Amino acid sequence: MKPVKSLIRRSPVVITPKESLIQAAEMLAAESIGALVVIDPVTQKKPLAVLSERDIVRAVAMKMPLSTPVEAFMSPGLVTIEEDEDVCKAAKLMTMHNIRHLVVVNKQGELVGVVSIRDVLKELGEKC
Amino acid sequence: MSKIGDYVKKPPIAVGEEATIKDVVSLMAQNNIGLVAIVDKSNKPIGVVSERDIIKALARGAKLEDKALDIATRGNLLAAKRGDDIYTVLKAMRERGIRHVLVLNDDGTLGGVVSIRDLVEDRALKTIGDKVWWPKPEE
Repeated sequence: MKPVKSLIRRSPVVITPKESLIQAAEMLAAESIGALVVIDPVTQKKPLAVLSERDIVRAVAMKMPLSTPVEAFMSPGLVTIEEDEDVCKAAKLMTMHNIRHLVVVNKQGELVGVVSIRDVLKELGEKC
Repeated sequence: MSKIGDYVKKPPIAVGEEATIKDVVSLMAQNNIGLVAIVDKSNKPIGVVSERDIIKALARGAKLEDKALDIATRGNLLAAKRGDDIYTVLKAMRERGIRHVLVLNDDGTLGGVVSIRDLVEDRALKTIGDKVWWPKPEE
């Protein structure tokens, strides 16, 4: 089974906690992706959380203005995977935590990229 | 742009009752979509298969040759009519924790699928935001 880092196709799209939900929505739409990585504004390397489409929908459903900072709606409980773990482990983590995006980190815990359920499915679909 | 039907961009991607998991995975990959509907012979939806359904099934040991209907979500599908308001539909999606809604034609056949991603686009957010934050007096 391939290492999870082989599924990373692009550099991660990141946002910082004080930026707004509308900025996040614009980035998601512009990049055609489903989630952003919220990073520590100081180090710019340490991932703090994920902000997904679903989080934005949650804010809208709660009648929150989209000028609200990202930190108010980012998903707590960041789930990461080390870049050399295999794709099977990634699938298990996604199923276990009921999430669609995994943040891939190096041994130092620094952000390397994001792997989505779609990336994993393509890999599993070809293997089986 | 406040009706869910306005966000149906293309004909729905659907398979018949005999389709395999492999058929569904191929359609997802080719069309870059996360949900495939299963329809009966009269083009009425009888189930949906999501990326998550497939990952879970493969993790359980399902084979790509197995029937997609066996791993599909069946019954109590979230469906809307084209004229339904997008905010109402979005709330229903959120309550059920799902990412896709089936949009039906008046005769109950499948007209399209709208995903949460379609509703996180600028124009959708603007429409929804106008409704949520500045409701008209009669609403």
